Amino acid sequence: MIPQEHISLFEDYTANVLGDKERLEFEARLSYDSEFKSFYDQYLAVEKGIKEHFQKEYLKQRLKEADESLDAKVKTGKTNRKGIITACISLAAGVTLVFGIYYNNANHGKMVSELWPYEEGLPVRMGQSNTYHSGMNAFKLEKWEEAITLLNKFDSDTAKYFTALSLYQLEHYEDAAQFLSKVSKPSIFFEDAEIRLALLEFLDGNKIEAKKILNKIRRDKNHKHHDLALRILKKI
Amino acid sequence: MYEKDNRVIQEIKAGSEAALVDTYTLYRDEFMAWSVRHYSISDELAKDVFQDAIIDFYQNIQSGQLEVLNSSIKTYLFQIAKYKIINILKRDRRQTYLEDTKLINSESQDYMQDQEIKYKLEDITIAMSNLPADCQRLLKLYYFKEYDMPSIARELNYKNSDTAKSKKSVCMKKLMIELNKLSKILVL
Repeated sequence: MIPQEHISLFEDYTANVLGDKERLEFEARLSYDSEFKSFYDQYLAVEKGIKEHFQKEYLKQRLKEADESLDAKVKTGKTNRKGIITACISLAAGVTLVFGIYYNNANHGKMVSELWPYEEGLPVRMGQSNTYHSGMNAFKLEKWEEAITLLNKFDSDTAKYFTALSLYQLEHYEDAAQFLSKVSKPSIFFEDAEIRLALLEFLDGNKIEAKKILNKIRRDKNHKHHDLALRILKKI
Repeated sequence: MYEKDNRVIQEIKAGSEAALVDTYTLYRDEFMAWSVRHYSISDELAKDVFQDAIIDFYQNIQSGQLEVLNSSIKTYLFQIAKYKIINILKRDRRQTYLEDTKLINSESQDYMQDQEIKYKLEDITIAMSNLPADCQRLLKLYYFKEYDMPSIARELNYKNSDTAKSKKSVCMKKLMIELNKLSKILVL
């Protein structure tokens, strides 16, 4: 623990209120008295910690405000929907017609990117260096070309799935869709592939096909991406 | 490759709070959906964890430990938040508590701990919450709002700046005592 008598001295030094002679003595002591130096370093670490504590407290508050605003949007959307929907339907249709085509084309990519589920890849044990693990490592490190080259050597649903995801990152959407459509039903990635395929169909302008897939997911309440499908259907 | 994300980092480095909040709002819902699905945690905990991940992201940028990303911001944040959830779940199951991971070497996705920090932020937070309210206010004015002593005296109705200065010294000593208590608890 920092001795109590040191604390006031450290405070004065950091606040730069020591006289010239005292300051020089203080700095000299820092250089020859390692215990004193260690206490001073601890004191500085506490000061740094206090600043970080208040900064965190402040940022947390700001993010909570952002939460309130995000959650309020969802609630408002739900509460007002019934009442407003009839009144706005013709206006919305008009607005959609005028702006929709332009806006959707320009923003499909952004929207899909925001809705595209996060995929962290499969665990790879240290020391395992075969092609498959190297491919998965490349995927995790976001080295997309390398991941595609390595994973393409395998004819498995998992390899197809992660190849598709890498192709998507490189904006080769059609190729990505082709790989996703090849992921077979028994695969653990089938449901992930389905939702992504829907997003890619939408991105490609095939809204009807996208909705077809999304409605299929919507009907299956046990589907991993049931809620996301509902969100996407609302957006498109 | 991550020009847009690195631009966001530069904006945050330059002090843009809006860029940080925008990053939070952009990925929050997706993170909630992902974490609830993978770890069966509540929405509230997911929000809390993601806020902490955003704050770590901010502090790593401000401290200069994160300057350029070799992955996307989304990957960076999800990785930090994922390890936070794992730590919380382990703690709740009364298993060995791992140190909260704060820093990422984005090249290797390796997590490290800042060895220079002698006091964990968590300890400071606990110690601070045990201080009297007037001490908390004073330290906030001094260290966060960067008020000088005459301004603190005015704000907190102290007689003069000397009173504020000695009061601050008393508060710091109290904080050190609280931190010492915590380290004793940890040793026991």
